[in-house]
Amino acid sequence: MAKKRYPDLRQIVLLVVLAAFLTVPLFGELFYTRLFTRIMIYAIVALSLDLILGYGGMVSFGHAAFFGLGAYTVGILAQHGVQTAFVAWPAAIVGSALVAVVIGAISLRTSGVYFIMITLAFAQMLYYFFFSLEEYGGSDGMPLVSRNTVAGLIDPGDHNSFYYLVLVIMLLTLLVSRRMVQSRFGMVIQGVRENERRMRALGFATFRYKLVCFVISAAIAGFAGALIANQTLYISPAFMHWTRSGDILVMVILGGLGSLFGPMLGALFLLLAEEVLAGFTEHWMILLGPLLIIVVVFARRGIYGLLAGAKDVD
Amino acid sequence: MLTEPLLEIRQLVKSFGAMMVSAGIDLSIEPGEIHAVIGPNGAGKTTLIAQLAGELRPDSGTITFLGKDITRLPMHVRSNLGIARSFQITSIFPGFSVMENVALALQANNGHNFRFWRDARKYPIIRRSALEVLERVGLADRAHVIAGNLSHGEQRQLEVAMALGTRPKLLLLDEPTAGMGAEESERMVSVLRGLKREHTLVLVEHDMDAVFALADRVTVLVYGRVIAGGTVDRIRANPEVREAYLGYEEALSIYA
Repeated sequence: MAKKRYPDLRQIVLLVVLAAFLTVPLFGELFYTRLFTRIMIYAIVALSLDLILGYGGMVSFGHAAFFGLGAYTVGILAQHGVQTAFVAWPAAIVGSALVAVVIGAISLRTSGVYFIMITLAFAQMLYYFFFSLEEYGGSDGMPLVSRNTVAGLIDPGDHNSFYYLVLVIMLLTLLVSRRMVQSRFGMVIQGVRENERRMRALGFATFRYKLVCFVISAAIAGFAGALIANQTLYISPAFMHWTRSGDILVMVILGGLGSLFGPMLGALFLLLAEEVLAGFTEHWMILLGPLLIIVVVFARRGIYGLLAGAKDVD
Repeated sequence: MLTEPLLEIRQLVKSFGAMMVSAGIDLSIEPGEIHAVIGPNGAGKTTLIAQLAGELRPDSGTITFLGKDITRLPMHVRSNLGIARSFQITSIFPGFSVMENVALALQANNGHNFRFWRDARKYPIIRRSALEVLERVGLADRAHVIAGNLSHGEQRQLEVAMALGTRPKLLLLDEPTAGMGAEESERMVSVLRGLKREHTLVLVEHDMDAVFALADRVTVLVYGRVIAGGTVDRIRANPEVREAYLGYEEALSIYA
């Protein structure tokens, strides 16, 4: 569509947030560097969920499973002596993608509430699988002795280097996803969200496209999982728990469905809110709950929708 | 006729429980014709279209398209073979622009769609063809409007444009003038007349003006059965049709 190109509020916020992210390590406060590394990793997961939820219209309640799988892949490989990121991270991506092929091939035969329930069920199955996997820590989880090595390039052991590495990965993920949702594939996926029956009548084998989208989303989540394992240096089944899937869903909905950047803002907002509110009371969820209700009631398109104002959200 | 029929339906049967919606329908569609299917409400016209398009599977009988048995093929495969369908209840992508709606239809049959990088709007062939199609249905000047904001009549035009966008050999149009005012109806009739030269159409329609203005042949369906078929004039004169379908004489006197 031919639209006038001038910076609107969203682009300004995007630039400000980006600039802020660039400067975090400069303050030299380890606490903040670590907090914002974590925020960026969750921003990647939220973005990956937005691909299937916001663009594909598939409400997955089991996204944390792929996140956790990525983390466990790194942990298990490390326990067997594989330290290099060049093996561990691709393995996390491919591993999550393969599991997503199986889960997707079964779940995507359903839709609506059934799809929500079946993805939740699969995620809980994986949760209990790792919960009882004693060789790799079982319910206690397993420590990661050190971060993966990125031989010759940078030293991820250094918090600042790792921070900037995650930042670059986040930006690349955003760029690639942005291209993807505007590509022919992206149009097909959005067409399925808008009207799947019509898509089939037009000649699209919709199942195939949905499955590919589901797998791509899971692969990105798996990548983020590999990063979170490196961030926390501790991997436990909690990464896969259904409440974690819920957190990611909240980030996406709070930030604004189908906008990629919105869910990343959602991750930023939710994790910062948690940090700040938890300073006042350990029952911080009591404060966050009403906040969520206000956003959902008054800003249907989330934070991103608020920034877009009355203008049509693309 | 010397030519092979484009579409041949033999003994098509479909029932929902005790209700038989297709009770052994035989029908053949010749290439290049506009074939109207008329009948009272509940005659099974839309279910017939749904079976031809592949959304419903018949209980028995065969459907042959271009000499190939397509009875068991799913909807998207039939669409790829060249059978396009428009819906009685408008079925568009309301959040997309008019252009994007048609572009998506064109995308379905223009190479594969596992292309993840290049902007979908930057395929000149698709853009050009989409504009051509919009031109034919008279929506070219509305190309950049969000489809959900179109008037009802325009949405019906878009509905036809999307079917056209798949470059079909056979168009199944389910009441293209549904819910339209007289003026909009007339515009739709002239759009459909414009398609006549290049396309074969199966037209389900309630608007008798439209049927008699467009159709080469008419099939009358009542309770899932073909009660009459033939040229427009023959159908107009058929007393059985008057009674079963048109119901009351005064309605008929207009056409007699």
